Parts: sequence; C-alpha cells; structure tokens
Amino acid sequence: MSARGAQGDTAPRPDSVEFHEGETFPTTVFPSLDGGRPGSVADFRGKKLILHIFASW
Amino acid sequence: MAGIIEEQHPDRARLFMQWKQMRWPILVDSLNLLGTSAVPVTLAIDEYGVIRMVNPKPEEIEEKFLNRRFEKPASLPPVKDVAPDLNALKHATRRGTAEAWETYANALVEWAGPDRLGDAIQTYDHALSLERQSGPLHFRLGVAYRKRYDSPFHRPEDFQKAVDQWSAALELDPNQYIWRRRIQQYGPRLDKPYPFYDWVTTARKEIAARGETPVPLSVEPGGAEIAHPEKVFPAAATSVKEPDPQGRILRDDGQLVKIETAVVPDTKVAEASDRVHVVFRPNPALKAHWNNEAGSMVFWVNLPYGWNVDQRQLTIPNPPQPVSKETRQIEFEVKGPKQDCTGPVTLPAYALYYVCEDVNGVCMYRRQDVPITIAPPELK
Repeated sequence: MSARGAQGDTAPRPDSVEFHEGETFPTTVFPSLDGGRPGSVADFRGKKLILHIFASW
Repeated sequence: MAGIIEEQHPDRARLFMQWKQMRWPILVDSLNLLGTSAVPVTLAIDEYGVIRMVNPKPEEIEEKFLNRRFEKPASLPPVKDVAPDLNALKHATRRGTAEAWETYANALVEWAGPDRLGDAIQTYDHALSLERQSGPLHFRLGVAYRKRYDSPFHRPEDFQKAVDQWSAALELDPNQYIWRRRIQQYGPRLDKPYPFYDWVTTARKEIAARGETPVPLSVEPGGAEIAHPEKVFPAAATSVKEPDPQGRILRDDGQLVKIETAVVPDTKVAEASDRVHVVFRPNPALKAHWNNEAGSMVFWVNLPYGWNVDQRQLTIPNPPQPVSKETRQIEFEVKGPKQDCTGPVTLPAYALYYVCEDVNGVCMYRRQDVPITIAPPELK
C-alpha cells in the first residue's frame, strides 16, 4: 500500500485496466529491494500470495 | 504477502517498510515494466500464479481466496529466476526492432551498474527512433536520465531531460498516473496531489526512538518532494530590494561554480506554475570552495511583465564550518501567461556567492547570471 493509500489518492482507483481475474501474473524478473537479487512473483508458486503494487508516497 | 514498488528512488520504500515494520519481500519496478497506471493495487494470486481477485475486500479474502481450491491451468509460462543475459539481449538487437532495443535498454538500467546508464540512454534513443510514439519508451528513458543524474556519472542536463521525457510520455497517455506522479513529485505545489515524502522525517524519528538505525537514503528528498499542495499561487512580496540591480558585481562565468537548472512544469494546466530547480557545484578542477565566513549565498529572480515568483530572493544559509565544497540547491516556483507566449520565455536570474579558488587561494564575491528558460508546452 502507499503511504497515501489509507488517505486516498486523487488518481482514479484502477479496476484495474492492467490486471484481470483469471490471467496469469507476468513472470517478469525484477531486482529485489533488499540487495538487488533477481526475483519475480513466480518465485511464490506453490503458495497463495497477496501482492501489493504500491509506492511509499 | 509480497510487494512491488513503482518509485524512482526505491530505497525510500525500504525506509517506509522499516518504519511500518513490514517485512514482506519487495521487488522494484522503477521502469514501470508492469504497465500499472496507478497504485495501490492489491492482487490475490493463487499457487499457480493466476490472479484470482483484484483489489479484494479484506473480509472476502478468506472465503473467496484462502479457503478456495483452484484448478491448475493446462499450461503455465516458464519461471525465470535469473537476471537477463545482457550479452544475449545485446545480440538480439540485431533483429532491429524497437522491442529488442528496449528490452536491452531496460536490462541495462536494472542489472548493469550506473556506469552503463549512458549506454542505456543511447539504446532507448535508438528504440525511440524506430517507435517515436511509445509512451513507455519515453518514460523509461526519463527514468534512466534521472538515475544517471543521481549517480557519480551525472551530466548537468540529465534532470531536465528526464522531466522532458516524462512529459512526452504523459502527453501520449494522460491517464498514466505512475508517469504523472513521477513528474509531480518534483513539480510545483499547485499540481501536487499531496506531499510525496513528508513522512521521511517522522519515519526517521520513530525508527530511532525504537533504537534502530534508519535505512540510509541515496538521494535525500528535495523541497518539491516534501512540499505540501497549494490551491493558490503564493506570489512573493514585491518590496524586496534587488541586491545588484546594476550588475556591478564581477561575474563568474561558470569556471568557479557550475550551475545547473531544471524546470518542472504542471502536468495538467498549460498556464499554471513551474518549479525551478537550481544546483550549484564548486568546480573541483580549480579546487573551488565556499567561503562561509563572509556571507550567505543569494539568488535573485527578475521577472518579465505578467510573471510571478514565490520568492524573489532566496538566501542559502552557510554551514557552520568556515569553508566547504558541498553541492547546494534551491527551488522556487514561477507562474506566468504561458498560453500567450509564441516562444520560450527567459527569466533573468542570478546568484551572488562568496567562493575561494584553490586551497588557501583567492577568495572573492562573485555573481553568475542564470537565465531560466520556460518553454510553452507545445514547444517541448
């Protein structure tokens, strides 16, 4: 969640246009925040995952 | 639980997580590769990687997700668990497509060191020459420029180029709020939805009060990034006396102090305000350094008819030591009738400062003229 998440953002709340139920989440590899090691959401396969896409603002 | 952050400076999210005592794994998407147009977004993803809920209500998660059994899909995309092979991606650019060039540029930004950001910038330029109307390409080129600006390999024009590329991206997709916020964090108060990083001071205090050391930040949030929104332009008082109206102070032509400027526009309203960033760097080649005993640095903004500024004169207080050579920066905001302009407008500003050359060298009081160019949106 963003630091503003609880207060609300003036941006339109996404439905979202980019993510839809039934679709596979992209397996894009990103640097991890802790040390820059490569990681992806696919690393969590085998477990159910709650994923927050956010910014600290 | 896991997270993906969409920020230019990801270590600020580390500080945020430390402050809130959240310990989930976080991935960094500064380039907006996911294409997310706004945050926050919460997804419930099953054990096969399939999205089952988008922005679920908390009270529904247990019944509709955690306690449900999901069928394994007939096929799943392969799992990639290593960073991309830069050499292979470079080789793939021989295909000559914008996509191949962009994939290589993205990998250079994310996985190569800051010394390769110049290569990334050239690669994005090449991709853009093939696909000029790509908002994502413009945005990512802007990210690369700003990353280089914040690195030891920075060039003076990098910040302005980052802003110009983000503006070009937003022009192509004005509904992209990740791109919009990337400009607004550095932009004028009339355009801010909220103060972006005003929480940093509180976070550091509360973390220290717990006996922990706050995560260090590679780039401290600047004035624009902690400024609060305004609904009315805060025009400066007109009674301030100009320090050198006749231009009698001897000029430094940029040899002793290098000055960089960047103008960040309002993202929504053509005639609204701009935030001007000015950075002063004593020239290490001449061992130039500030003389802090003689007086403070002053920055003065002259205005064409019809223009307003929030501060006519800015004073930069000196640190306590008698000499120093730190980079100094100021920010101010201007507002004028841009819609009436047929070309760029130049605001004649100047800086007055006490600077010494070489160790034990000559110390002098100098003026450097700093023309600030404001371009109407259609000319950018």
